[in-house]
Amino acid sequence: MLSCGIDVGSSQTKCVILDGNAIVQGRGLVHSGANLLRAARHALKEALTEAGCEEYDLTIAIGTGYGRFAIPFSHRTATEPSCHARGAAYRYPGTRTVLDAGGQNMTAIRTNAEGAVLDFAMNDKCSAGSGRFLESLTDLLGIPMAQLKEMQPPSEKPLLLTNVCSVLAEQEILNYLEGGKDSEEIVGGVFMALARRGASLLRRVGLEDEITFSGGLSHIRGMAAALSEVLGHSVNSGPDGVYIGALGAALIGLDQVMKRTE
Amino acid sequence: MPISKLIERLRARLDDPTYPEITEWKNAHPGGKAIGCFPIYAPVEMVRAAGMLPVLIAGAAGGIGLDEADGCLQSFVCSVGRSTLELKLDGFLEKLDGMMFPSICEISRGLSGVWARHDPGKPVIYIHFPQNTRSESAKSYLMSELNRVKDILESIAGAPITYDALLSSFARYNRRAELLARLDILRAEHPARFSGSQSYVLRLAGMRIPPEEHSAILEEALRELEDTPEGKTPKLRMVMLGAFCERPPVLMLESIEENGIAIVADDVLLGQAWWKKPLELTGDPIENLAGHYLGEAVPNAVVYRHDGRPCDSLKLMMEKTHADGVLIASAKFCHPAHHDNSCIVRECEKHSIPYLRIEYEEIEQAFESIRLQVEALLEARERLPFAGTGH
Amino acid sequence: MEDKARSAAGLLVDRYFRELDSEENRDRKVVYLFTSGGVSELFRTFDFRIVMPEINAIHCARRNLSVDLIHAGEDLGYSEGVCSYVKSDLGLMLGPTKGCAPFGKIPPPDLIVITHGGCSTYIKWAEALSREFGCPVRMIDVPFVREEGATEFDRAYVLGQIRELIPDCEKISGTRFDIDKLGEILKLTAQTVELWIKLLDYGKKRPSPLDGFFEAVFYMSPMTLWRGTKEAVSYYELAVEQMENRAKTRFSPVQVEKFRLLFEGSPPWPRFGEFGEMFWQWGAVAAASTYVRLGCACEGLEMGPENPMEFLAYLAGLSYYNWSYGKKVRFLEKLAKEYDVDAIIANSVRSCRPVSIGLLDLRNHFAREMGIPTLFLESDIADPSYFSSVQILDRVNTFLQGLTERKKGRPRRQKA
Repeated sequence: MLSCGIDVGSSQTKCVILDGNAIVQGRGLVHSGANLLRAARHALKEALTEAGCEEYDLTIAIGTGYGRFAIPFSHRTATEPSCHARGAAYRYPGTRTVLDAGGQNMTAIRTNAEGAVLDFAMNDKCSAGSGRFLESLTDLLGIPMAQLKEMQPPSEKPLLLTNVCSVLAEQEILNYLEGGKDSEEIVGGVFMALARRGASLLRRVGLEDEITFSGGLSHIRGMAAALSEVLGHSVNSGPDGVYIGALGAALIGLDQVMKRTE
Repeated sequence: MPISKLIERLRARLDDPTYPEITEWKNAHPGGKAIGCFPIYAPVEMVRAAGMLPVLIAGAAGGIGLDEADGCLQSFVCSVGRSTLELKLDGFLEKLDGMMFPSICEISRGLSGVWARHDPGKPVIYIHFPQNTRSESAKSYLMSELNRVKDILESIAGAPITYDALLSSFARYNRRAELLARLDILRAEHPARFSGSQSYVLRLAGMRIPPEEHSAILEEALRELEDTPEGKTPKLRMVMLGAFCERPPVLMLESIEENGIAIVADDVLLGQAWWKKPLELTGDPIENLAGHYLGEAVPNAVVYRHDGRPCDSLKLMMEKTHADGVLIASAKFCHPAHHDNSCIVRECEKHSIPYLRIEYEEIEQAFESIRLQVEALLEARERLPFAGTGH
Repeated sequence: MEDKARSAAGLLVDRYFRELDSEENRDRKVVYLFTSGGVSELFRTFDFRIVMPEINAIHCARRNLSVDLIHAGEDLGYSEGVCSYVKSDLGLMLGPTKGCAPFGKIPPPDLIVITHGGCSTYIKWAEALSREFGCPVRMIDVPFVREEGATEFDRAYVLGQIRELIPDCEKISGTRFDIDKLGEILKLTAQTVELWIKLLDYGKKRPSPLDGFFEAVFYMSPMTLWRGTKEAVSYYELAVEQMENRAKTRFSPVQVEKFRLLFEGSPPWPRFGEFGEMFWQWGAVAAASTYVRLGCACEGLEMGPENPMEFLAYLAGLSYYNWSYGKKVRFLEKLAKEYDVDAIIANSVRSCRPVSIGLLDLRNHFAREMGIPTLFLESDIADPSYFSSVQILDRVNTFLQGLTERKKGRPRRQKA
C-alpha cells in the first residue's frame, strides 16, 4: 500500500510517499511557479522515482496547500493545519505546538499526541510574515536564497525592524544599507522580525512543549534560531521541515485507508 | 416562488453609493427629508416620527476607493468608519439633510467631529447614550438627550414631532422587529431552507427604506419561505457574533455556508433588532424610549451591562438555536468586538464549545482563508468531536 | 541648570508606588480609577489607596518593560489591535508577574470605578480586572463635551452618579462620608490646578523656560497621582519657582530656542527620550502641548470648591480626552496663537483612539486652511514596535529643515 501527500504551496510544491507502515519511500520538491498542476506532477514524479514506483501503484493521494484544488489526481483534500499537525506530531512525537511558516502565510497550531488540531491561528493578511517577503529581500540584498538558508543565526544585538508592513520594512532596510549596515546584520534583523510574528501567533493558540517549526521557512537555520531565541525555548526543526505538510497529508491518506479497511 | 428569487432581486439593489432610495423617497414625498444614521442604534423611531426617512449609513461595502478618507483618518480606523467618511467626501451623501452618530465607540465620536468639519451647513447630531444604565440619573439624562435630538429633528423637518407620531412610529418599528424575530426562528429551525446569508440580505434591504416598506418585504419573504424546499442538512450549526457594526460581505457568509456550516443566528445589523421586547405604545414616548434603552437593549459590546457580559447572550442564543459552535467574526480594528472576543473565547473554552475566530473587512472579496479555516474546523471535528477551535 | 522639579516629581512617584503596598497602608482599601473623568478626591475622602491602571502601563513603558507585558496580555487572548496600555497592564496584573513591577507592587482592587470620560476601552479593561479579582465595579459616565461645553443636564447626570457612589464607598472603605473633608481636599485641588496652569503658562514666554511636552509630562505626575494633597501644592509651588528662575535667567531647555512647537497627541513612552532629542537637536521646544492637559484643567477653573459635590462633577468633565473634535480644534487654534508657535506636531498613537482619531484631518486643517505647518507622525504609547526611529527621524528632520527654509523666507513644499 502506498499513500501520497502533495502540498502545493504558493512558493514550493512538495510530495511525500509512504508505505503501509508509514515509512517514507520517496519525496519530491519543486518550485510552484504559475502552473500549479504542472508543479504537482513534477513533485509527484520526483517522489515516485525515488520510491521506485508508478502513479498507478498509489492507493490514495491527498492534496493540501494553497493549490490543493488544482490537483485532479488527488482523492481528497485536507487543510494545511490538519496536515501540519499530523505531520509534525509524527515527525517529532512530543510535538504539541506547530508553527507552519510558508510562502504566503504563517499558521500556529496546537495539537495532541495523535496530531489532531486543537486550535489554530493564521496570519495571512500581510506578506511581511512569510517566505514571499524573504524572497523579495534576497533580491534587495543581492543574496541568493541558497546562501540565505545557511546564514548564521542572528548576532547578539540584531537590528530592530519595526515595520509590520513589508513595503515599509523594505524602506527601513534600505535606510540601514545606506547607513552602512551589512547584509548579514540586516538578514539577522529580518529573521527576528519574522520570528516575532510567528511567536505572536503561537501565543494566540497557547504555547505547549514541544514546539515544532515546519514549512518552507523552517529549513532556514537562521530563522529557526531566531524563533527559538524569541520564544526563549528550543524548537524542533530541520531540513525536512518543508515536507511536514506533505507528510501529514500522506498520513491522513493512510488514516483514510485504515478507516475504509475497518 | 422560492425565497432565492426574492433574495436575488434584493441583492441587485444593494449598496449603490448614489443612494437612489433617497431620491425615490424625496420624489414620492415632496419636501421630504432624509437623515443618515451611523450604526449601531440611533433613535430612528424619532426620525420616522418626524416624517423623515432614516437611512443607515454603514460604509460602502467596498464599492468605492478610500482616497479622500485616508487623507483624514488613520489606517487603523475600521473600514466602516473610513468608507462612511469617503461617501461623504465624494459627495454621495449630499441628499442627506442631517447625520446622527451614536456614542458606540471612539470612531463614531471622532467621525462625527470630522464629518461636521467637512459639512458645516448641515446638522450633525452626536448622541451620548448613557453607559451607566443603572444610575437613577441615567433616565432623566437620556430623556434630556432625546429631547435635544427631537428639537434638532424638528428644526430639520420644519414641524413639531407629536407624541402620537412617535407612538405610531414605535408601532411600525415594533412590527418590523416582530417579523425579523419570526424569520430568525424559522432560520434556526430550518437552516436548510433559509440560510444565514439570505437572512442577512433581507436585513440589508431595510437599511435605506422606511420600516413599513421593509416590513412588506419581510412579509413577502415569510410567504415565500413556505414554498421553499429544504436543502442539504448542514454539518455544523453555528451562531455568528461580533459583526454588529461593520457589515461583513454577503459573500463571506456564503463562503462559510457553502462548506456545510449553517449560520443559525447572528448579530449583524444589530440596530434592527436592538430591543428585547416591543416599545410601549402608551404614555410619554420620550420616557418610554429612554427607559427602553436603559433596560431593554439586547446585550451587546457597546453598552456596559452591569449585570452581565455580552457572552451571556451567547449561551442564550445557543440554547435557543441548538447551535453547535460559535463563529467569532469581528471587523478588523473593531475594538469593542476584539475586547469581547477574548471573553467569548474563554466561555467557549470553558464549556468546550467549538469556535472559529475570523477577522474581516467590508472591502474583502476573496475568502480563501476563511474557507480554509472552516474546512480545518470541520476536519478537526471529524477527528475530535469536541475540539475544533480556530482563530 | 538642575531640573529639581523633575527630580522632585520622580520622588513623589517613587513614594506613591512605595506607599501603595507599604505595611502601614495595608488596611486601607484599594480603588482602581482611570485618569479621564477621574475624581480621585472623592476616594481620598474615604482614605482609599488609589491605583490607576493607565499609570501602571505608563511606568512599564517608560522602563522598557512593556514588550514582555504586552506579550503576556496577548497570551491572555487580547489581540494585536487592542490598546497596548490595556495589554501591558493586564499582562502585569494577570500574567506571571502578578502585579509585581520593578517600581512597586500593585495591590489588587477592592473596588473598580470606571470613570468613563472619552474612552470606552476603560470599560473593557475594568471588566477584565474585575473578572480576575472578583471585586465590584461602579461607573461614573461623563458625557461627551460638545463645542458649547457641558450642559446642566450633563452635570446633573454626573453629580447624580457621584452621589450614588457614596454608599458603596462607605461600605467598602468602612469610613463615613465627610463632606467637609472632601471640601478641604478640593481646596487643595483648586490650588494645585491654578499652580499647574501658571506653570504651563511659562511656555508663552520667549524663550520658553519650559518644554511643555518633553519636560511637562514629568511635571504632570503629581497632578495625576497626588491631586488633592498638600504634597501636590508644595510640589507645584516648587516647580513654579523653578520656572520663574529659569525665566529670569532666560534659560531654555534647548539652549538656543529656534522653533516653538505645539504638540498634540500622546507620548511614545518606550522611546520618549529619543523622540525628544529629535526635536531638541534642532532647538525646537514644545511651548505647549495638549497631553499635559488631558486629565484635568485645560483652561483653568471656572468654578471653585465652595460646593464640593458640584465642583467634583465639574472636575470630572474637564478632560481633554472627552472633548468633541470641534472643541479640540478651537482649543488648538487658541493655544497656537497664545503660545505663538511656529508649527504643530501631531503624534498619532495607534492604541489610543480618543486622542488620535481626527489627527490627520486636523493636520489638513491647520496646515492647509490655517497656514500653520503641521507634521503628522505615527507611533504608539507603549508598544515600541510601532515606533520606527528611522522613519520618524526622517520626517522630523525634513519638516524642521522645511521650517528653517520658511523662516529664511524661501518657500518649501511641506512633506506629509
